[in-house]
Amino acid sequence: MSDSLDLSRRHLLKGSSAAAVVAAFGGPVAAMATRVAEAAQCTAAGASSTVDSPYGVTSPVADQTTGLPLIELPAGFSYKSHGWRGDIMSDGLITPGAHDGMGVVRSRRVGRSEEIILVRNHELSTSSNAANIIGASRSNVAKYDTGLTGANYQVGGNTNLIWRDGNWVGSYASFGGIYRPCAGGSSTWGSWLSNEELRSNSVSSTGKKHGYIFEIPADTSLTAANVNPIVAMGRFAHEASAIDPSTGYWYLTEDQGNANTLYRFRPQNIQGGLNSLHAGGTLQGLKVKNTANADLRNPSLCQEFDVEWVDIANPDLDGATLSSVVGNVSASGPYIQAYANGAAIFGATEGCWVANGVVFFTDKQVTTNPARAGRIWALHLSTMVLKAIFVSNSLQVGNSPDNLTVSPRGGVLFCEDGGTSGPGNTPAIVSQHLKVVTPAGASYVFAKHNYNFTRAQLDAVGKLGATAGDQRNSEWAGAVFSPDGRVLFVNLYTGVTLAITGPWQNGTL
Amino acid sequence: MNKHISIAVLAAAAALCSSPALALTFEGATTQGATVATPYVGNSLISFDLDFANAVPATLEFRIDEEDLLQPIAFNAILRNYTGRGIEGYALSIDKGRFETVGTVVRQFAGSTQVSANAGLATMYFNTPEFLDIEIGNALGTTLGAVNWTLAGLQAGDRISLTVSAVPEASTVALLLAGLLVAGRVQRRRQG
Repeated sequence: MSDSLDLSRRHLLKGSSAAAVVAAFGGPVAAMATRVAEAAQCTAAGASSTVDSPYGVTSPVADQTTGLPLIELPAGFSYKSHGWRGDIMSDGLITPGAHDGMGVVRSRRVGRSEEIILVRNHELSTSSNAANIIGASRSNVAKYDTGLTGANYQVGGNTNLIWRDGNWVGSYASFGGIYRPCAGGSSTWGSWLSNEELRSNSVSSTGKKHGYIFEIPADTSLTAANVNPIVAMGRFAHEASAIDPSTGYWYLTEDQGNANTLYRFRPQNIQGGLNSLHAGGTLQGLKVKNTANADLRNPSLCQEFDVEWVDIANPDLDGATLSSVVGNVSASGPYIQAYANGAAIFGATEGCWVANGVVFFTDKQVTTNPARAGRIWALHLSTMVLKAIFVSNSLQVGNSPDNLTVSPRGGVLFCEDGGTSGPGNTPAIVSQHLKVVTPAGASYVFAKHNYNFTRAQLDAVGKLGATAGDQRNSEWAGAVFSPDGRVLFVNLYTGVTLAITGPWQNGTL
Repeated sequence: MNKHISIAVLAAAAALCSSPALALTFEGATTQGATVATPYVGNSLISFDLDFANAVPATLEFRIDEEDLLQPIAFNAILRNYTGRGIEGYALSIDKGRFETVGTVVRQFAGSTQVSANAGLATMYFNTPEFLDIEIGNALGTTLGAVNWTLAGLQAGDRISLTVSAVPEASTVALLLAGLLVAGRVQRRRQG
């Protein structure tokens, strides 16, 4: 136990001869007043702008685990890394790379310990080596498809992570044999939906198609993941899935450029529970009322639309080229049907989160002409009014918002997954950020990517399998708060998971 | 508004303490708002979890019986910070007896702690504000190197009040005033 208090403060504290304070500072974190960024405060304007962070400017902060300054954070925040690409997991397998979507699937007391279980996506696509399938060397890791599609195996999958009493304590492979699980989403009954991001009509050597959603339990040592896809939730280039706890309905996004909409899945079994989604349901696409195939790629900030849902008869229909009002586009079977019924058009929908009766989702498409660098939408479920709460036309304001989360206090945080070229790329883009959307529709930087290490630096801290070099412009992913709001879990796609804590009360998160 | 610990928690504590051989007894807690105290007492053991939802001090009451005095009374606890603010330290005060030995304090996320104890007052100051939880002594039973604290100077039949005060970030002046008040109150109780 060292003593590192500054002298003046220590002197004052000792001088008090006791340590207590009577001032009350509000209720528990979970009961704090919500401050959902999507509020009526949205200021009508053409596009969003940046504002100073209430948390203060960021600077490099050393990781408590390795000592490496992996990220920049505001003063007062600290973090621990875990589950690096190449680390040996609790089950003896090697941690895969491409850390992507992630969610908290269980939070509980175990004895006197506090435990949180997360499931993490590894957005791996294909390999000609079957040994690269996640969980390949463990027979009790459930796998959807170990067959070949063309010359390659599908090697994406999942790992489960255990956080207990403020520390990372374990991880293990939980699912494999799928293609490129990207954003995903947590259920309300202790499981994770792992979503393949693929529009393909191909069939593997085992007779399986890809582009589906799968369910991963919180503890696969008790219950192995169901290897059967949830076909009724559609076969397309899935991104996120987010459940509205009040109805049991799911909201889904699709990363299919200029040929996607927001989807709604109404399960047949709305009671929920493990494998309940496999019982089927109705898939629908979002449509602007009285407007067929509304092009929503270029809204102005705070613009609103009344929307409704159109049915998709066959969620497993093959994709094809669609001649749409924005040109010929490669479209999934579900979107082709939704489009035929008037569904709206977005650029490329990605992150999705439901909080307080509002569905938040991102459109990450970046184009130079017209200037587009990402949008965030909010769909009020009680009124079915869709509102553009964040409109970035500059990489400085928001650079291709990907995964998105809402803190338990109501703050909207998004993960950048952009590049260095696009509108507003002067000054040069040197890193990807975690950014926050304010109630007025502006953004500020919460954290910056700072992973830029040599092989020798990584080896010196035992990260022999970690990626060397400048990764500052690789994406952030999988942001999710602990249910009590005290810890933000997030991935550096290059292959690290972080747990961040600090003075959240100083800002809007 | 002060409140006493819930009936359910008391019942659980009573169940834990129902055997005559399990002498040390938890008699109740005074907390404010959503702060929750959960006792884990045993023979010659004062142990509890305290989940702070605000920075108002919490007081737990225990009764000491003869069997507890056959060995030093051990003490451990988990203090959880749900206040939404950083905590700069904690103070523990007992109105009877003294802190005989100071064991470990482990900050579960990171950081160091300066610990001192003098008679019935123990203080813990953190080198950086604590946003998560701390383990005093060997409360979890799994932390490498964790060592319980001990209490002494107690008599059979003593009822002791143990008050835990959190020190919120950037509130040193308020702390100075409040700490003096608490210290004065403890002193008056000891004299009484």
